[in-house]
Amino acid sequence: MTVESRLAEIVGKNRVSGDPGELDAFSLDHSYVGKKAPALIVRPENPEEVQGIVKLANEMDLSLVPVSSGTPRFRGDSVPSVDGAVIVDLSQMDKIMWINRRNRVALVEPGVTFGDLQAELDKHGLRAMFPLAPKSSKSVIGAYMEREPFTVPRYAWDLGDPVAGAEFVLGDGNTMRTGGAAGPAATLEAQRATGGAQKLPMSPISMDFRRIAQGSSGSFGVCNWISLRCELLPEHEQVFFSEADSPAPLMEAARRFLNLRLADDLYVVNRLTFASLLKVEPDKIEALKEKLPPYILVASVAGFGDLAKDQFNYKAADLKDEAKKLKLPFSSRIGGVTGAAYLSQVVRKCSAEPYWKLRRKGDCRELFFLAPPNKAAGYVEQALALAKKGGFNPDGVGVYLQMAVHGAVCHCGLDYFVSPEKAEALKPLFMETSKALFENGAYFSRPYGPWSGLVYPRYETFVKYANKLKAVFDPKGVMNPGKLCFKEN
Amino acid sequence: MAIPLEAKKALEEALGAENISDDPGVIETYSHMNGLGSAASGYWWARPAAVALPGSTEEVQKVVKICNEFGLRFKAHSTGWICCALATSKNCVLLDMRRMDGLEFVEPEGYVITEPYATAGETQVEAMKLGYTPHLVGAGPNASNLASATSMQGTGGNSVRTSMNERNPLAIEWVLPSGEILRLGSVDTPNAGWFCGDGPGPSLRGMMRGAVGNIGGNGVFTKIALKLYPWYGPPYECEGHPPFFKTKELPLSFVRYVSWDDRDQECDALYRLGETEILDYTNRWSASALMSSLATTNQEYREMKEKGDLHKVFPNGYWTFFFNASSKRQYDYNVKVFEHVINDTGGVIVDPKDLGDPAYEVAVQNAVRSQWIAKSAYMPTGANTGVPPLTYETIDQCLKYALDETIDVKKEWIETNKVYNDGEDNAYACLDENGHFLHVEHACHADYAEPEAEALGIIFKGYGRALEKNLGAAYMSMPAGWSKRKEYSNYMVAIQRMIDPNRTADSMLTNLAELTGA
Repeated sequence: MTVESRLAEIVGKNRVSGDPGELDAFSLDHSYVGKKAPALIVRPENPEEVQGIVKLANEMDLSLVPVSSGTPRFRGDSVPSVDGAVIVDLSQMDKIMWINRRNRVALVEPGVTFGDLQAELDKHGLRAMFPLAPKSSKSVIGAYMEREPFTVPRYAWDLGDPVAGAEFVLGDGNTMRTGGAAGPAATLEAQRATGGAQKLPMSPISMDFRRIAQGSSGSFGVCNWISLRCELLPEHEQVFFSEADSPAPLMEAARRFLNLRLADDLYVVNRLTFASLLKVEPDKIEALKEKLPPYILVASVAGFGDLAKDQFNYKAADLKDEAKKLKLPFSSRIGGVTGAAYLSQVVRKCSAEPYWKLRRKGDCRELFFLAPPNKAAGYVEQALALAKKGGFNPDGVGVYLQMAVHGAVCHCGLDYFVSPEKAEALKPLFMETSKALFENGAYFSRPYGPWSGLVYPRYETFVKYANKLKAVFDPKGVMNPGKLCFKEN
Repeated sequence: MAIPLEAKKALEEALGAENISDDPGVIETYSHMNGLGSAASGYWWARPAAVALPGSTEEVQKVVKICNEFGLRFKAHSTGWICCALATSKNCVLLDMRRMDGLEFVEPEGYVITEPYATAGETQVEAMKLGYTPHLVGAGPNASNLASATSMQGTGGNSVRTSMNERNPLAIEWVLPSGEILRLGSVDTPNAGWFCGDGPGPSLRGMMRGAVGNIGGNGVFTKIALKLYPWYGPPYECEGHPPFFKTKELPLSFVRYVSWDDRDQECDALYRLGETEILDYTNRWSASALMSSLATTNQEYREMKEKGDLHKVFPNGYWTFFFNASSKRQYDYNVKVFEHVINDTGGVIVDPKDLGDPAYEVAVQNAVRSQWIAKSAYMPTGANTGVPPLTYETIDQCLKYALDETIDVKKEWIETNKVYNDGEDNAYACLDENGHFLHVEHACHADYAEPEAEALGIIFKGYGRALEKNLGAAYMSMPAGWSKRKEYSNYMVAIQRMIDPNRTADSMLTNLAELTGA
């Protein structure tokens, strides 16, 4: 029997595709990972089917590439590295399995998007932690399993947040649950019967597979579902802005506001990113951009739960006082954009179509890394100077600085807005900038695509043990071979 | 067992003769520990073959390689809080990490790089000068923060703000049982520093530990960076002499005891208080625990217990809540919402000062410094052990289900006189991360005059009950839980074999699993 027919036995004929058009959509993305088409796409609808697919892969030496989110894609992690790969498209597994207000928790499958989830959480008075205006097809699991930062750093104790429990089909075909979902009871219902809610992020037995799997581009297994921590939905909420000619004073202010626990959404963007988030047409993006200061701090104030209004009032007053102490302008309006408009369009919202990173030029190349917050501005300036030197207008680079882990780290996102026809020509500058930043201390914690060649030679022992660890969970190397530091098998 | 002469010679050459000892008198001092542990019990703790005092990562590496060469085992021992810090194999070279006590504050990044013998207390003293506090484990300021972050557990009363120590490491330096040095996170990127511990790509922190660490079985953690959290007040200061220090005024700080008659209302209040995000410290204690902190002698403790005054005030246990505000506005809001929630849920608020200055000092020193041990006769019979539940999950699971189960288990041991009758309920609990989860544990006091295994049995009984009643994944960390879900323990064993093919690390968990047939 062929691979296609064996897969069809597991999921049904209509959920296996070898259609060239569909395959082509998975063969390339907006990254510098080379084009490679998969052989097939399989679309499971439940964990049992996922397990069947992984077991078949072990039996027939298949390479599986798990994919949760829809297009557009940017990281190259879902483009196969090897010939004959099978895309495991998890978008059909789109159930919101459980929401519990008392324990502030939701369980979701990989096909659930941020928009789907928040619509349901609204009914329970809860909110999910959103990345900055995710694409409408962005999978919640896809974001969190790749340690994507979210916009409320106060709730990020750990880079793995807000994942609590999870269920995986490991590369060897076995199933494992992590965190509070691990047990001792075998079923979620039995755990809940004694008050459990799959809330614990840490796992039993002196190891944590969830932590290993996060950031691995699906190299260890397939995530069937996660339980994620939610927070209370604000009853009172307002967005404020501050501005500066460079990101440094705004990052200093953001750290201060975070330490005082006054702000919810809290990040720094440049005017191009700000305008791109709010406007769709390129000319309107340009027009708004011209009215804006070079860098903008976005800080939302929220009141929720008991005495929500009192909470909002004290936080707003303290925040204004702190901005005054730092001698920074602080307002609920910037460049003609009100905080209310920003709140309704950006905060806990998915991007309208087209995705905001593609609006201006049709393509975008993402360069991102982690840094201590106090060093983030310096890396931005270094990258923009290199862009200028390399003939790329620095005004065409979007900037997004997002603290996480209670301010221990800052995600530094540089978006090179470029036309599709000029994207390839940008590659030398992109790689030269990446290398210069890396040598200067920028930490590429998710070294996708060509960054792996930059980063991993410095991590010899890490690579050795990461590969040994993969062999424990995926002895035949069926899971997304060739990504990050893992061999192509 | 005696260390082979060739091995001793190699260790002396590596570290200097003054940093190696196999003197029986010295060895004996490494054979007893709080928490029902001593080599004399003959249960599973062992006298080490030798004690080594490495002074650097390179020296740790040398010791580990020598152990590999001579078929010895090794285990790191930092500040040593409970019996898990002892050797569990007779051919073990115990690494006393006291020479590695460095602390480096990285500013303005705002984190600290710590070596194994730096204590949480000294970290906090220095951090407060810079406007920070580290997480403080419940074991007290004398405990190593590195040890709990990498190898043990790491919960404390301020976990509501600073989480528990599985969640606090940034970059990590780790000498594997092979002698190789593995660094996790940003530290191997040139000029990056120690600000991140995950990646690049997958996070190998996941093979370091889970809810509980591998208790020395994974190698030696020689240096880690830890997150720091804001401290709004001036550095903590006190005057006087132990055990009755007097805390100097803490501006914009608030501490109260609260009790409820009704467990459902207590849980409702804890959920709501967590959601307000106002608290910096939470701790549930019984009247018995408060008495053992107030008493200065065992006799005084017994007299207080017989008198029963505190049991009348707190018949169902009580909580200590503390916060330190950054502004008058925040302080006023915090007090208002705190009183609103407590009053709305039938709680009774007690100002600790109304119970006397010592009661206030117990509250505030615990809240700010995790300082409950030095000023108490906590162990009226000379040893204590934790009784399950020793778990984490929701507030409801820990308080509505697990707490009563553990009291029930303990009752049997009290009735048969295997542990001291401290009033049965001596459970302590604390919220983590604004109430997203809760930790509960139960103290019990054992008498050295009793055979230790008798008292120790309560741990196994408690684990068995917890597993039977499905109370918390953390139970499964001990070998008693391994057989419950083999799909976890099999992988842990596989990882252990992968990083330690020669079984050079002295793994308490592996040894215990073999002893108990788990």
